[in-house]
Amino acid sequence: MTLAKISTGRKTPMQPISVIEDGKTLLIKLPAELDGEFIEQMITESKAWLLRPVALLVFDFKDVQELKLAAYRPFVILSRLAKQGDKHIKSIGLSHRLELQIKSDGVLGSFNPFSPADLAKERAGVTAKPTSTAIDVALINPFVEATVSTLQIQCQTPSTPGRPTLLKVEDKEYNPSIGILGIISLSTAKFHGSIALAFPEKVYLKIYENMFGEKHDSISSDLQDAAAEILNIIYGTAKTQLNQTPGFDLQPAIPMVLAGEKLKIHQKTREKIIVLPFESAAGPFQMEIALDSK
Amino acid sequence: MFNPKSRILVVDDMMAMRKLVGKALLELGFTDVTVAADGALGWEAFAAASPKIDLVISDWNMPVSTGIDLLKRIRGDGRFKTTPFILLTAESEKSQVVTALAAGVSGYVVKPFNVDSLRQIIEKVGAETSAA
Repeated sequence: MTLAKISTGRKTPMQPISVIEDGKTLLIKLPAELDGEFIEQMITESKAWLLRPVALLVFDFKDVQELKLAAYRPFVILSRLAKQGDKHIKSIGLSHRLELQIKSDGVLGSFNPFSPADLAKERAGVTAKPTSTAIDVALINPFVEATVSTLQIQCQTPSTPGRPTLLKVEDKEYNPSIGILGIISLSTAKFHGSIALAFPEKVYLKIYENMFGEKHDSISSDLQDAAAEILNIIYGTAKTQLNQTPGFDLQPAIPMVLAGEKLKIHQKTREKIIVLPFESAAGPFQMEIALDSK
Repeated sequence: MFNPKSRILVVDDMMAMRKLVGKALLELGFTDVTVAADGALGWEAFAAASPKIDLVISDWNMPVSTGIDLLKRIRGDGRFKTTPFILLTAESEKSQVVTALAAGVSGYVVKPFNVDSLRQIIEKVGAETSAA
């Protein structure tokens, strides 16, 4: 395969942005320091990258040690523009620390971290056959990202996702402590199900305090609709991302909220339940997604 | 351009969101804020306001009457064709943005939002209204 170097953009003494096109992919190797000058240069040069006849733009973060908030801007802008042009953005070489950082800052979707092995498969044109597991992953990631960003921005409560667990209905014997629960029904041409967001009482009261600056001892009816709104925002954000993928056609939905003692989640599913645990500055909470294929 | 005395109508079916937007507007220096719980109540408050409302900030999805219903009703009245109207919503799909623009929306804030993103859109809409 012939690689054509199309730009070395950066002026001395700064390290140049190396851009390599191989026919299917534009590989953009990032310098060690993503400073203000780099950000402006990237915003300018990225317009030309989007005009290249490639479907995939890959950023190589191997040399990048630090990612300041200001450096998110060109990636967020480029990611949006790329989607409009049916192009995809992927990132390789991100350190575990930086990946956790962009996750907790709610911008994971603008970077799309990818392993070099997955990238090699994608460049070789190997595409996975759609399976229920693929649907699960495709469904989970937007909800995880939406949850982290909603908690961070709307609730001033940083959170990080834990490892998802797949439960069969008959295995569902665990009994998490739940003080308040929001539920939304999911329905598409391929599957139906529901999504539940559950907070222990103390965790929800702390999140509420972070949102409004008000301390409460219990979840009164006045406090309940904030849970519905949190779930509503998470659902709306994830829906926007999912509906860009063929096969998903999630419709607007209105959440239902339950609060009280001894709450249990009984998802109406014949197949499986995905449990997504989160750890937050207010304490642990969880999301459950129940899916049945149609 | 808006000023601290500008009259703002906030329409959202969720009390939590009305509180959050009200709190953010207070932080931005706006003190004259009226709230309503759906598009129909929003229209009642809007039409009855004297002096008139300077800016509407409305949710999209609401029972009874949506934010788009309210926007169309306001734009359908010759007196209010240029009243600034910002949609604050979790819906940001391209088709929905197009629908909102076609109905005459002045600005669009996607939830989750913070005080800064609300300030930016209010300033932008204010500047565009002044220039018109």
